[in-house]
Amino acid sequence: MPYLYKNSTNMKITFRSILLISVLYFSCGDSADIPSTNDGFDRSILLSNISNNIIIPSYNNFDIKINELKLAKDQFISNPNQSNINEMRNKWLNSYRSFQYVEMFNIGKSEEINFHKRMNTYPTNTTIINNNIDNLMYDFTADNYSNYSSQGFPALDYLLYGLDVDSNNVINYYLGSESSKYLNYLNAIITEMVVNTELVKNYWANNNLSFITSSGNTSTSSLNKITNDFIYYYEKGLRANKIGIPAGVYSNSTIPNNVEGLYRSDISKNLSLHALDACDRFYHGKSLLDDSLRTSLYSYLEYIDLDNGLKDDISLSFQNSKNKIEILNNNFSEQITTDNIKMLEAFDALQSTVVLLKTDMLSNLNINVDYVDADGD
Amino acid sequence: MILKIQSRIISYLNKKCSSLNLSIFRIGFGALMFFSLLRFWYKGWIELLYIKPKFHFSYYGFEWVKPLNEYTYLIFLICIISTVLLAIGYKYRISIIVFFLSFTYIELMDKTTYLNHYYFISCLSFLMIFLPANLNLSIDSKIQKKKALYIPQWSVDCIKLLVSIVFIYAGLAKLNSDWLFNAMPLKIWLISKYDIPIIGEYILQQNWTHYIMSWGGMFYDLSIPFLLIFSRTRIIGFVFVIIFHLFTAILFPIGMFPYIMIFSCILFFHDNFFKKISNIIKKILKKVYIKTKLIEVEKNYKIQNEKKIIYILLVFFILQLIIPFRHILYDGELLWKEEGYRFSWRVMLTEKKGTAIFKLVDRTTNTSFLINNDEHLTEFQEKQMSFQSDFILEYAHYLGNYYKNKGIKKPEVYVDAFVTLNGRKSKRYIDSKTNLYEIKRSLKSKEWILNLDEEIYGF
Repeated sequence: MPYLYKNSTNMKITFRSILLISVLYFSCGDSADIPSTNDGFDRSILLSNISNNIIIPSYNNFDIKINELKLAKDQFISNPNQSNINEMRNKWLNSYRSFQYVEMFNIGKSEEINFHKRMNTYPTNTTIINNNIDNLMYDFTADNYSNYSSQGFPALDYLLYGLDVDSNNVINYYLGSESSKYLNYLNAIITEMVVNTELVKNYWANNNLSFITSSGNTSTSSLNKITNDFIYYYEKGLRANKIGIPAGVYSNSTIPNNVEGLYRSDISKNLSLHALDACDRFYHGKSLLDDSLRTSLYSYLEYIDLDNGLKDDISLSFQNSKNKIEILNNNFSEQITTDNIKMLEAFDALQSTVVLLKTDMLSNLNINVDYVDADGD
Repeated sequence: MILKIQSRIISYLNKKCSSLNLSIFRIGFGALMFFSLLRFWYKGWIELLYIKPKFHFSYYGFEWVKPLNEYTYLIFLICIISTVLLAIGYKYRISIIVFFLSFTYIELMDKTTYLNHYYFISCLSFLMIFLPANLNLSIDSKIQKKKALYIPQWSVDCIKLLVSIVFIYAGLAKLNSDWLFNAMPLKIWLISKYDIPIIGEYILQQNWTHYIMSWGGMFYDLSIPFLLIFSRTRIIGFVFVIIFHLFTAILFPIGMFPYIMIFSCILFFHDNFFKKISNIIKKILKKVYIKTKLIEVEKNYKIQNEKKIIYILLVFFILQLIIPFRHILYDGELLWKEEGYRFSWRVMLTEKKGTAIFKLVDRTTNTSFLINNDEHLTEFQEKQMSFQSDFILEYAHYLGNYYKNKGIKKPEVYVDAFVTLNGRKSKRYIDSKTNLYEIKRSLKSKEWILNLDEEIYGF
């Protein structure tokens, strides 16, 4: 009997402790918004730098450039002549360059409307474009590849440089009997680009705060999403699209016609260098306006401090890619047909950064970017 | 001497305990599995993990176990039904066999989803096939109008033994230099949990926290079975179990695992604990349940074929003790090469990520091109494939076959694979000059995995 008695008090203790622990456990969930008193790394400062010093200024800058393009277009439509088309071409190139600094931020509105696909799907599909021009029928809103590949910068590239084998003769298309059809299409594309840019720019003006405050570590938190976008852009947008695919890395032979800026022809290297610069700046936390190092993935790695030299290896790797791209021909199509080995070397250099970012950095920072949240053990 | 041991064994085998213990365990197990499977279904993982992928990674020897398109849902349905039958104790023997087979089939369909606790559930349900868990609080006993009050003590002890093996082997695996002297991989994981209220911003960021938790986890795993076995320390041991597992549930995305482990430990309690629970259950049942009058109480319940069963379980446990040590048959660093790594209760030991880029060479034309993994694998499959050599080989064969069908006569498959382990700088993982399409799949040591060039000391 005494033995039994003892056991039943023990039982009570068990049940009580279970109760107590479950109360403690579940009450943990409610205590968000505790004032931050850490000596550690503040992710919201990182996020604030990313949005306030990188993303928003880049969109503002791009917005200015795209509106300059719009002005030049209006001028050209009211008075189509050689000097006005040249002015438009300059503005097109300027805005195309500054677009390289926003393409990677595929988040929020940009993701919703597939901004980067609408802006920069190449090779552009000239058959669809010519059909559209002839039929005067174009709806740019649908989400499909044929639609993406008939608008944005690559379509303008074709309209400003590629309508004729000799780009000096392009102006004739805007002066001839069917000029209104061409002017219409030019107008429609640029209007669409401006509208979409305003949408994304306004999104950031309104959602900056929620971006900064979503500082958790789940696949839907800001840092996880933006880091995923950054790496995805580096891997696909830069490494594969600009260099790998035209150099024939994914096919049996080279595809020199798949370079960015095909019709203007001498800008593919320049655009690639800007894209690389955008990635380099994002990683180091540098704004578009100055070169000072701010809170960034680089300083985050410094904080984690795993003593493996990773943060500087990534910096060096960016530099190495830059060196490999700089020695290429301004015109990648020419580079591919004359000496593709150099293109492949640039690809390899970019690839080694992909390994460092995707494998080492994501592992060291334990940034979870999967949308499959399957259990682990 | 031999006689003495023999008589001890015999007297142990004759020891009895309440049949409630195992019956309540059965009810809880059925309910827990029911919710686990529903959760899996509800999260859309059947679609995502078993139906969507074009290609599935198989276990060696089980290549024939594949998802059955939309019929995969049927397997899950069968499994779920069996958990309900387990909980209510209807046709116990058949339902536990169906559960074991369907659950194990699900786990064998694609090894991308391998988790130690799934393996644990397969082992546990296999064990339960042989145990008398339906003699009380079951429809079976109501139908047969008889119940047994006592069952052999060993039938409960063998589950305790399995649970103890899990803890001890998990603890032994933590006796390595990465875990103890670098606090890896906990350091990486804990620092990234900065958004956990109260402890995230400061405590989890501290170096000492990482070491305390690494060493604490090791001591925990190694001591829990002993704390639970002795009645003096049982309560404190069980409180530890609850605290530890709920804490891991907060910290890590490990799904049902903590709850399954907490639940598995209840069998360490004695008859009185289960009598209390059964009183609660009966109280609840009284409200909805019509009392059956005639129940014959079997006092000396005898398990049929007891001797045979004991021999089967003996073989089962000897295998359980040996299998986790099979890695000594392979050369090289276990945490890096992972040869003989699975089915050994090695949990949470590595933070690993990889990048694997495959090159297909056509020997007839001497041309080559790189593969876009996302054309063939899901995001989750690619992630798991990138740092596990057997996945890499299997995928290489899939690619070779795929392009052979597309008309490439002599395909060769090479890989540029880089892996990072526990915060080390990533290193080339696979010999890039090995044509993987030529390598036959086997359990032999894989010469084409490159070495870590650094020793991780310990188990």
